[in-house]
Amino acid sequence: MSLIKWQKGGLKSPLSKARGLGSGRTGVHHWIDQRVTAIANIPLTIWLYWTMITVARTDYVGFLKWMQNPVNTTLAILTIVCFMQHAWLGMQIVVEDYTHDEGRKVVKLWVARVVLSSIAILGIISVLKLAFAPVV
Amino acid sequence: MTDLSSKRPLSPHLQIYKPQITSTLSILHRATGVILTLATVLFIAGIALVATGIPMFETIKGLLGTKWGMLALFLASIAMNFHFCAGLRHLVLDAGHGFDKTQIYKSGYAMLAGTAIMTAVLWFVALGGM
Repeated sequence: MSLIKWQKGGLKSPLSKARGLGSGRTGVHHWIDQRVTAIANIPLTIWLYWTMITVARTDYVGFLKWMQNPVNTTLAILTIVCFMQHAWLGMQIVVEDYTHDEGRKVVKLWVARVVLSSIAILGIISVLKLAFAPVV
Repeated sequence: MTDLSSKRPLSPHLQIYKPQITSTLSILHRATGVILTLATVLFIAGIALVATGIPMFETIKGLLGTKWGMLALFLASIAMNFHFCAGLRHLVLDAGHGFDKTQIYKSGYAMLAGTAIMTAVLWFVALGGM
């Protein structure tokens, strides 16, 4: 039995796929992106748990030292980006499913997109701030 | 032309259809997703505050150490672990396996067990196990 069951050839012609034809247009991309961020989130969640436990047991200096390890700085930024992208994709679906007024839907999606991306940038900047802070 | 669609009656569904493990776990997956989005936003706001210096770090650490703080962290971890295990189950289903009725029920229960085990291990380690 195959690991991932695959429809050989697919149901669309290659040209139509390239053009993004069909009512789903970029819908498949959204679906794939959600799975890609989900898989990335598996190790990132474990790392996040480990970080939280480590930081809970130490003081500010220890916290800075942890965050200033370049591996941890990178993982922190990756966690923020992947978690927020995954959250945004999920919220898109939730808003689209439960909002029946087209106008309201557009507003809600805009608000969600702005809030989540702003928070992501805030997170990245904070991580960089910690990474370059002088250890007193 | 007035839009009458919102004034027409809907046939009952949630009041009629008996909740199954499949639909319940599915909606919980979605609900935990929304909760975790809010939790992540709060968490990042916390990181931003903590990045301002020692006073904020100690304040937030203190707050999270209180009864209510620990309870909030515990509930958040349950939501995260549930969403994690349900997500793994979704990935397996996306690969095309496990759609049989018995398989779906088994994986559903396994998922709930996984959530409990993950939460137990996490808090055991966090509270000083290792």
